[in-house]
Amino acid sequence: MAKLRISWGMAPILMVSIVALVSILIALLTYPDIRRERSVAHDAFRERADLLTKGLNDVLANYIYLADIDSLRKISDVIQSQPDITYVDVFAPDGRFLVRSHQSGGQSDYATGFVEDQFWLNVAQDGQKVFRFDGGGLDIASPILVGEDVIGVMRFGFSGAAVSAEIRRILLGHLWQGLVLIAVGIFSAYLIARYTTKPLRDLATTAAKIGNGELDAPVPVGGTREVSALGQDLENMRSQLQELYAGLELKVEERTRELEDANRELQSLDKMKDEFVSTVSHELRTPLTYIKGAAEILMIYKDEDPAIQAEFLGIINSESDRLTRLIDDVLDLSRMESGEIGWNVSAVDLPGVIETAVDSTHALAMQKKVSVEAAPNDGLPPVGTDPDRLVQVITNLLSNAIKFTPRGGLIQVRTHILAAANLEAGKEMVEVSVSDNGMGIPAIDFDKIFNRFQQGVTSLSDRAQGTGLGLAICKEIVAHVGGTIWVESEPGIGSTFFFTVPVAKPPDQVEEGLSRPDGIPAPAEQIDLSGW
Amino acid sequence: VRSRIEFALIGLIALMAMGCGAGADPSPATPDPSPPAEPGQVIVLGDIDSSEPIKKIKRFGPLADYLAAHLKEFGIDQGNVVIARDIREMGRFLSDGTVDIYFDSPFPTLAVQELSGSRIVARRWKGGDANYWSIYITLRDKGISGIEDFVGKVLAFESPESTSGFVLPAGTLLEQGFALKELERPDTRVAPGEIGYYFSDDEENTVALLLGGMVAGGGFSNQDYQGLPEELMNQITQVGRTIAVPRQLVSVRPGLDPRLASRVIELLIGLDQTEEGGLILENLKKTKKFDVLPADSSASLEDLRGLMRLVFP
Repeated sequence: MAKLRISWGMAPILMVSIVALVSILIALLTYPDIRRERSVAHDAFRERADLLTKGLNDVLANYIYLADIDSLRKISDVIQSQPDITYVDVFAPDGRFLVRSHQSGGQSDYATGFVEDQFWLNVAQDGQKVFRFDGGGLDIASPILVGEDVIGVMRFGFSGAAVSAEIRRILLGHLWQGLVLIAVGIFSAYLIARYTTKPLRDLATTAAKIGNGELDAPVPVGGTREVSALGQDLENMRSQLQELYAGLELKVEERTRELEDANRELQSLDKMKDEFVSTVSHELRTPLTYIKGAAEILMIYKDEDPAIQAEFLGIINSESDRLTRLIDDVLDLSRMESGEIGWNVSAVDLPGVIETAVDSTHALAMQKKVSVEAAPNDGLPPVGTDPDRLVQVITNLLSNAIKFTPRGGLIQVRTHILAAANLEAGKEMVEVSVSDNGMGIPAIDFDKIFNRFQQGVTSLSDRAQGTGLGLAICKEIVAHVGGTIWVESEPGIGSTFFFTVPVAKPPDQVEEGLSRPDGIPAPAEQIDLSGW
Repeated sequence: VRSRIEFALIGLIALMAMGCGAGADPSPATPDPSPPAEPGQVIVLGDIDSSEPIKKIKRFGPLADYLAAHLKEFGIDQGNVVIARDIREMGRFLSDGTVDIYFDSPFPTLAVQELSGSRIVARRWKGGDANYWSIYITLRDKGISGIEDFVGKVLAFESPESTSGFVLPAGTLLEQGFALKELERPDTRVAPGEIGYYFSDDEENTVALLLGGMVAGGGFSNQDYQGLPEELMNQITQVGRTIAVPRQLVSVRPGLDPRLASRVIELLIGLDQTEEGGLILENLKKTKKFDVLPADSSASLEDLRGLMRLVFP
């Protein structure tokens, strides 16, 4: 069964409490007054009864002695005419009524019958006066004595009307006092409740506003000390919430911006991926197209001049090589970005590496009638890198330079030691540059050319037969060992590609260096190419 | 004016059936005429009072106890008081032995004696006087100088049973040849040559009637006259008196053991000789003493008896 729960406000509680308190107070004050009044009335009854019985004793005794019942009846009527005496009885010691007044008033008469209540009969036997309080009145019986002899008993009834009236007057007076006190108490309770609860209601209203997010309105602090303390605490909470909310908004805005940036970046990357896939597809299809075309021509002209056949077979061969390189580069770059490729970092003799790279491109340079000069500085310290990868970087740069340098052009390879103090990372680096006097690169393409399949505004694919991945691979390798790569160029004059590699650590730190020294950032971004 | 109380027979029967206390027992045990030898006997004193018997009982109670305490050789160990309502009843009480010793004024004593044969044995100095008499009183400005001036006027007497309040003054007037006429009302016109009289029931009522001009004079005992306040004495004067008679008498019932009677007389006469007896006498309406009735008093009683015959022919 569900319990009914009543929520009481402070004012009703105070009012009910005050009414109960005043009621108890009035009861406590009234009860002793009534008792005292009854006691006083009873004492007065007793005193009057004593006087009456003493005064009447001999008179009644005379009439009883003389058997003067008429006089006995007359004197009884006189006694009963007193306003506060309700009846008068006179009876013999054996209980026989001598005079019995009419209870309803009027004259008494000769009586018959006997007193039956032993309480009254004992008066004749004991010769002692007895009282019996009945309601507000009093019944008294006194022996009629002659000397020590009881010759009869007189019994009177005193009316309690006067006592009851006095008690009613006391009750009424206390009732009025109580009503006045209750009225004053209720009014006081109202004032107290108003004084006490108004600040609480204000606090509740403010708390509701805070709950609804309205944090600007200050909390009213007032009322009693406890309520004021509560208001102050609520104000502190509101201030802190306001500050937290403001900070949260800023953070949300910041995070939103970051997410938007990330989203844009992802979209860009996704676009790049799409473009990459499209480009790779295109780049793969191009040599295949050449190969297919050459093969079809050979099939048509299989009986033609062998020289012509040799020419087309040469095309097939060169495009197959190109296709192979392209696939190798793509796979190479993919493994590099996914971290699957193994790095054999060690202290590398840079001039030796440059020489190896120059040698590997020598045939191509000869073919293009281009000169290559390598003049590494003397006393270069070993650099910390994978020598094969470093050869790959320089070779790529040289290949590109050869490709884009016109016949009779000059390509130069230089080195330069960068002081540690000039470097952000605080490490000693060696700068390597490969310059040409080719057609140059527009500044707008400086960053773009290091991306995959990006070869600048002037497509080189038609003329240079590149895969479009060389510089991207270079950038990845250089970044992996903690270096940077960039290009400076003036269209029509030539281009210079720079990259830096860190100086190898002393022998006791080489082992550590092999395991990717601190300060070398991880690849900024990796694109999973495994799926295509 | 207090009305007279008539005693109803039914009241008497009721009273007898009530069985009042020993001290107020109206029907005490009758002592054996022969000398009592066994204890448990009672000596009973008696008086007549038709209005306030209890007062008399209280007055005589100590004397009854005193006598009982000194009469143990007669088997008496208790004293009672019985108050009769009138002369006739007291005569019966004495006759049947209800009362042993009777105290009263000369007229009721003589009347009871005639009814019961009781014997006067002593005199009581009630109020300190051995004898007393009646006087005729009137207002000083009424122009009455002697009892003869009461002819054609109304006198107030106390009651028919009163010695000084009726028998002596009325008997004396009758003895001197005046004609008396009892009146039901004091303002009744009196026939010429007669003196009317009206019973006031009390000496104070007599004075009140006199001062109120309702009567011309009244019969009064000399003791009552001497007890009047001074301002009344200035207005009231006496214009005649009667013979003196013993103030009060003590009688014994017929048949009472003479030895017991003698012992009682002896005890009564000796009361004023002891402190205990003095207290009893003081309580007994300032009785000075008891003594043996002298010869001249006996003669005055005979004169009184003559007046009684005139008053109650």
